[in-house]
Amino acid sequence: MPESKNALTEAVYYILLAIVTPLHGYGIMQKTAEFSSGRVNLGAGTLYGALSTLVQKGWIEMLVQGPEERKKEYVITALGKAVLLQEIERLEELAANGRSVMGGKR
Amino acid sequence: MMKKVVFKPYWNYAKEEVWLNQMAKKGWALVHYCWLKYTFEPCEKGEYVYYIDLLEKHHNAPASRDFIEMVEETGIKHVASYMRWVYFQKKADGKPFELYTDLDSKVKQLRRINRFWTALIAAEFAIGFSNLGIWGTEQADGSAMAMNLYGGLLLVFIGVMLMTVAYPVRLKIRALMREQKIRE
Repeated sequence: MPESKNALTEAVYYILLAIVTPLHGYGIMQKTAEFSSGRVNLGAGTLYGALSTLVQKGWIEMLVQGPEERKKEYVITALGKAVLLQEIERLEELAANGRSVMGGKR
Repeated sequence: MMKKVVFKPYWNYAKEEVWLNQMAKKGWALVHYCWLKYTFEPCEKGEYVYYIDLLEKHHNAPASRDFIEMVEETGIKHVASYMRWVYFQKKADGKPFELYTDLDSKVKQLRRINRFWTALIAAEFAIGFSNLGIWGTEQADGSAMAMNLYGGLLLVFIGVMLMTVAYPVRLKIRALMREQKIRE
């Protein structure tokens, strides 16, 4: 199980979500912008830093590629999926509490 | 093609970046940098914007190559590198040229730059003051060498200059960390 109950950063959340199906760096940026309707634009530096940390933590892995393929693709691991699901629950709790106190529709 | 070569020493990468962007606005695009030598080629006025970044390791290290490759995937061109510094070029599209887009990564990057300067400043002071110390003892036995005095003073002066360059970076880190207490 994931080791911590701390919140993920927005960048990490969308990166994990983007690579449920394998993607390369630029693909992850495009997917993230698409998820957030252009609100979240990951810089290459931010993405690179997050990807290396996530690989180290074992939440994602780099796919082994043929020699003709130059771009590196990343995919979420089982551990990464568990972290992501836990985070979705946490976010739902936040949103539900927000709505019940402040009103607004579901 | 007509080229322009400019020799210019810069203390401060932020000012250097401003200058490169001004050159691009005037129609001169940086195509190469090596040892204080900047080579420009003509471009449309304001066609490109530039960004200077500090890598974790030398630009030839595998991790640095991976990073540069990822940056290039996004349509940004890697025009030059010098030790750990890299020069990136992007077609101007009205949007700011950023590689670090959230607080976390911005702070991390500024800290890397701050560490780089702190090490450099410490080295300037250490060598500078030890030269002055040597000059002091030479003074006592009558063999004082001007080189130790002036060399020492020069290094200490460079250290102080670099401190004035590093200070704004520290202020920026502090401001971002304050923001980080309430935001991601």
